[in-house]
Amino acid sequence: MMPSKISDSTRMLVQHCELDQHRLILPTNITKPLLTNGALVAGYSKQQYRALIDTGAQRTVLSRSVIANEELVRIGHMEFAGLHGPRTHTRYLASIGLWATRVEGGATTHPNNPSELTLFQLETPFEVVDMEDNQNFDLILGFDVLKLFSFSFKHETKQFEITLKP
Amino acid sequence: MRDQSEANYRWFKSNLTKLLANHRGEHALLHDESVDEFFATSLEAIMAGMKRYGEGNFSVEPVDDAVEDLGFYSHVSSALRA
Repeated sequence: MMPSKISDSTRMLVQHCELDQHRLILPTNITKPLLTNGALVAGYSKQQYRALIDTGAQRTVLSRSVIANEELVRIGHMEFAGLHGPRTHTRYLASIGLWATRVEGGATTHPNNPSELTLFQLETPFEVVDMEDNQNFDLILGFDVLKLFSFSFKHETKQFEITLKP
Repeated sequence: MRDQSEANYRWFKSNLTKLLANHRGEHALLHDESVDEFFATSLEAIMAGMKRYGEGNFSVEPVDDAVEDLGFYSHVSSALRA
């Protein structure tokens, strides 16, 4: 299925997820943007990566294995605050999408089943930085992406909901 | 052609003080260890670099001396290695 554009006003993106060892994890899609007809457009794949939600991060961070898998283009560097002083990391260009349940007219069109999820692709590429690989997640979704969404956490169900209303 | 970003960055850091005087807040398109042009946004500079030189043959650096906060990764990244 081709990815839906978030700018379609008849649809809404909804993703529910539960705490994974006290962390909020979202299934995401990362691809290399391609220069086509003078514009940068997202590539397409069915890959799902585990993204940790972190509103305290100004920018999204990808593990080096994801960067290598998707053959992202290196575009520069960035200094960020580290525990023991400033550190320099590499910046890459990435297209980011979220796997989610599509809701039309208030009704869920698919069950919240990983095999039935729809990819909603963000149109503008993001500049991300690299981090070491780890077992817990593939990337950290920072506020550069999160600010495009509304999100809430329900204590009763221990579920986190992220929505985008274009 | 070898990836230029490391060499460009070393040149950029050694000239940052001079660049900040007139171009703070802009984004420098770097090629062969010099500034090709300044842009208002990073994405504009990246697209120009791709069209003029192709992947790996340019880099883009923000003319800024600010340090970003990466939240969890900035402050507890050592826990990822556990």
